[in-house]
Amino acid sequence: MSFSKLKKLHIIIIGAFLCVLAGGLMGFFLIKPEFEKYQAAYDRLAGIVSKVGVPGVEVSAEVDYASAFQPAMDKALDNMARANSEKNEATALLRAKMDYLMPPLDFSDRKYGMIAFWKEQILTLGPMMERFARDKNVDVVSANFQLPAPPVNPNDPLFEKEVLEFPLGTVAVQGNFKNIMENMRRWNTCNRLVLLSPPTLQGTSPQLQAAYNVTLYIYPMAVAKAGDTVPMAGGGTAAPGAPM
Amino acid sequence: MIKINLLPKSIYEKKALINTAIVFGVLFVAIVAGCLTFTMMKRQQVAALEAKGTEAAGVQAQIDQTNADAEKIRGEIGPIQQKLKFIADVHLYNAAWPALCEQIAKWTYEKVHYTSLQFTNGGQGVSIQMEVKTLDDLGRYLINMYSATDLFTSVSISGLPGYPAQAANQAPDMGAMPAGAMEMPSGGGAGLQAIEAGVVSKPSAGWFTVQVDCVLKNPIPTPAPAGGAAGAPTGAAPGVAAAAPPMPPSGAMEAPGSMPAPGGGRPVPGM
Repeated sequence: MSFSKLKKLHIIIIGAFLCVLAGGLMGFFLIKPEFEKYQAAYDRLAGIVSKVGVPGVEVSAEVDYASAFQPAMDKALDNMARANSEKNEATALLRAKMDYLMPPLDFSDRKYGMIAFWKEQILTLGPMMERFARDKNVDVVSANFQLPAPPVNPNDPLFEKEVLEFPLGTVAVQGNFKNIMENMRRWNTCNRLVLLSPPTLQGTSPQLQAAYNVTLYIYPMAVAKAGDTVPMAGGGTAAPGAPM
Repeated sequence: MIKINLLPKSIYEKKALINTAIVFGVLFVAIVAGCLTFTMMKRQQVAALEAKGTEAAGVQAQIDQTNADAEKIRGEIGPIQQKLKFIADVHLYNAAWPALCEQIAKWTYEKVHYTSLQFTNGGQGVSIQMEVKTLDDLGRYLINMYSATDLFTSVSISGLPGYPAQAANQAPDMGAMPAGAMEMPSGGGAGLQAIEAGVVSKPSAGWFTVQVDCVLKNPIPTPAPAGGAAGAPTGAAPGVAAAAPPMPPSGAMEAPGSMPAPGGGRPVPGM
């Protein structure tokens, strides 16, 4: 190719073309991606600012967001403190109720929990409830509570239950109307959680008779985990009348 | 003096070409350099903004984590509150029945004698067997019970005797009574006072027995522990027995099975 034939016009055209081409290519391949990245970073930051929700915070590289978001952080910490306070209050209230109403049964260790449950069910519960049923203001016609034999296998699923229910039996009392009503209310002061059935009244005061069923509920302090069993425990033999 | 330029024009054209090429070369370099410079500046801005975004995201994550921890703690309160609620519900339930009995007593006309009261249909109704001396007393009682709209939604009576049992019980002023002539117990405790004072239990001859069935306006729901309760290892069905408990045999009072069943036409004892 001979450059001697190039004119000034050719140089201008070629030069202009190359300048435009260079500008276009650099704009497309270098500048445009940077604009896109900037927009993406801006949108991300704007989204975060919007989500945190502190008013008056700008979207800018000059803002110290650790300080700007402090009100939101303070609010979250306050929320946490309130949640802890609520939990502590509920826990304390439940502990007070459990201390008064529930036996200290802990089934997290199945073996020791089962033995403690034997003592509670066989030795403690029945006499305690019958003692409580004796109300000096009424004549207790009958209050013979019956409790079944407790499970003899520590792997019994009973120990995994959150709450245990014992239908104890029927209480029949005789007295005047007021004393019988007070007798029913008195069960709310028992050291165990008992639920009374609707009463049946018969007769006329002062020889009014009332009968109601008593059901006992026990919340263990801790329950056994479903898969955590005692490998050495055999099937065991239940007491007559009690299912396995 | 005449100046004559004998040099060919092509010498100057070449120089002009070179100058033009140099100009566009400089322009080209300037464009490239400008673009590169602008790109570098923009990259710095992007880096700064991304760093701020990362900082803000970190703070936001801390805030979100704190709030999530708070909600998790509140979630742990749920089972605790369920237990507390069940305990409270049981105590309220136990106290509700005596209160209901007292309310029923307050609406009871003092001249009727209740012989049996039991809650039926899972505690949604109450069935009362009673002895009444005269139809006026029964009427007064019934009108009183109809007024207890805050207690019952329905009051029905059965067992009214027919003739000749009714004739034996007629009072001298039998018949339609002017409304103003009837004494209306206020329901403010007349029945309760009579019961509390201890009315002598043995009615005289001439009394007849009727049964009143009432549907409670606000049945008392039986509380149930969350998640259900494990029954005692007896084979007994879990849950509270909703049926009325049977009265144990007593030497003083008749057992339910031997109570006279209300019915029409039954002769009144002593007649």
